[in-house]
Amino acid sequence: MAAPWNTEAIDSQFKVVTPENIAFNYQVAGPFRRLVAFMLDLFIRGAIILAAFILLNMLGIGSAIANAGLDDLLQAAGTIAIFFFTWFYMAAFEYWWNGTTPGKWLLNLRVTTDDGEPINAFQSGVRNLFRYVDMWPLVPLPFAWMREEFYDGPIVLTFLFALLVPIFNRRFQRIGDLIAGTMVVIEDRSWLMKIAKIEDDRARQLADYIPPNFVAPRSMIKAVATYVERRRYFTTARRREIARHLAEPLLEKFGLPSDTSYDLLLCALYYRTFLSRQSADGTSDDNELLQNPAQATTYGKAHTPVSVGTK
Amino acid sequence: MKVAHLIEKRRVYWQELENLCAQMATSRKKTIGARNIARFAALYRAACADLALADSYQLPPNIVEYLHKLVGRAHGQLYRSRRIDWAQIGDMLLRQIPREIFQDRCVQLTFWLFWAVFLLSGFMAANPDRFPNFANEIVGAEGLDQMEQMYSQAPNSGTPTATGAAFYVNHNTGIGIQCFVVGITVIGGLCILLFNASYLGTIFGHMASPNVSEEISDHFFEFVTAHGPFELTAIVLAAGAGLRLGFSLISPYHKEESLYHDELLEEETSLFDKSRQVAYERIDSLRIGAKRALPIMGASAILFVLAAMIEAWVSPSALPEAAKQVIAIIASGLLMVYFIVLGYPRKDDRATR
Repeated sequence: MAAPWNTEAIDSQFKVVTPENIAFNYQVAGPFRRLVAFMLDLFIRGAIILAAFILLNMLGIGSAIANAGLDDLLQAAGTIAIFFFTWFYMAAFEYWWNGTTPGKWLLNLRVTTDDGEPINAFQSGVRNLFRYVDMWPLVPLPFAWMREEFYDGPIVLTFLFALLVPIFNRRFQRIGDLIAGTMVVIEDRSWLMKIAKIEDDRARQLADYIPPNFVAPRSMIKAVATYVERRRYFTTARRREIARHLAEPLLEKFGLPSDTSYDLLLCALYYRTFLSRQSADGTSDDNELLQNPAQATTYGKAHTPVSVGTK
Repeated sequence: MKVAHLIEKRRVYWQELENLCAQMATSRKKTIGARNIARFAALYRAACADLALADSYQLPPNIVEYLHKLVGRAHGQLYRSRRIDWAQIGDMLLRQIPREIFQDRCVQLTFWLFWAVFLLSGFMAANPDRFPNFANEIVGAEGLDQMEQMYSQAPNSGTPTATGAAFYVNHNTGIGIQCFVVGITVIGGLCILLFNASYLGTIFGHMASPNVSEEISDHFFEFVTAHGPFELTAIVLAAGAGLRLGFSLISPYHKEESLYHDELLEEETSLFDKSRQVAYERIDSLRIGAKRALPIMGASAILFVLAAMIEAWVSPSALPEAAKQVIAIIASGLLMVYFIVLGYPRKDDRATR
């Protein structure tokens, strides 16, 4: 049943349809995760400048170059480097590193287009030029004693635009993102969770008492699986409390004694659905399900799995 | 052991795909090898198929979620950011951009505004008898004093340095980019443009006025002649590009004839009336505006860099003043050729779109 509201907007998932005609979900990154990435990038830039400074001034490489008569060139290179660092650091990384910068990479963020496709050089350039707008409004501090003749005193970068604009659109886009048509997604490198094991023999026995013609609806399967995979974090009382809502009507339906453990019943249902030979939806053609496109490779035979480091 | 068995069997492939993703993210494409890339493609297709099946075969939700993330990650590695097409850059720079600029109403507007205000304030500052306080009001007495001190020595007494060139590139292009970006708030962009026009115009006029000694004004004009044409044009272009952004946000209408084929709305194409206005959503309009404005900004940045090079290497050098004037004439000539000869609209222009 469709929800009366747009659920995509609520859980910040964004559906992408690939050219292979498969739809998968990206999670759109919120402002605060991106803020941390931005700070990291800022920190990395500062660290690089500091390292260069130490290398040149403390270790005497700078004076060595100056003695060779290249002082002027060195200063010029420094100024140009700072120019590129200020305006093009992010854009260059996003272009070369496929939509990530070092800070984004550390936080598993990636820039894609609105459609989930990779960005091009034009887009990475535009979305980063407009970082200047994000700092607005610029507020000069009203301290007269800080002002000198040609210096307006300290200016506070409020970054209000960077916080306000993403609130008003679905994909948390900054002004630069809106103009370039990009968004930032979370690209989680999560590990595969195993199917929960049901060690309790009583659950397996109880599974036999569930009527063989009972097919659980999809949403119920989802709820049961979510419960069973997390039940080890709960105390017994808490398990009972949570499982009761689903288990009570089921016990009535199956005609089981009402003092059966609610937790046990859900485990049994989980076992029946995912682990027992008897499948939930009645299909038993293992062949269709078990044939794998990866086995039929271009080389005609199955490969040994590739591990990291194999070249 | 149906579902568990299935997942156990597929897990190997999924993890292999994960490893390949990690490998592709860190190393260059050439070092991975054709064999692994082909393997990656096969595994990716397999994972896509698994994801498609996962829902209908009621796999546990955490497995489905994992598959979503895995497919997303592999998709990100398969479709990587596109490289710049360098062959196209020349065509863009010499054919498309000048025509775009020639026709761009925003650049035309900033051009006339800039030069009108520049000449007007120059004229007012150059006639201190009639407008006695004008220069002081605009630039300020200290500013004028400072300018006069700066040019009290002949420009060719200093030596050109690479540091100077780098400083000018950094400083001027930075100002240009800010001018462009602020243009999105139309008023702000116009304010910066008019401020620059009146400020520069006043300084030029003041230097030509009888208040300033002949020697200083000679030095000033000798210094600014060579890089003036490029720099002033670059300011006009940056402001025009910024204004194009701002206007496309304010008014989401675009002339149908100025749109590229892929930007036209599907049902909006008309065979007969090409001068119709097509209305877009503001955000799409802004995107179209940005697509027009960025090449102009690119041309402006190139001009800024050229101006900075001349300002650093030629203006303060010991070359005779006549040579600097020749450079200024050549620069203006190049600009004319670029904007008018290359930019003049051709008949075949629309046919290629």
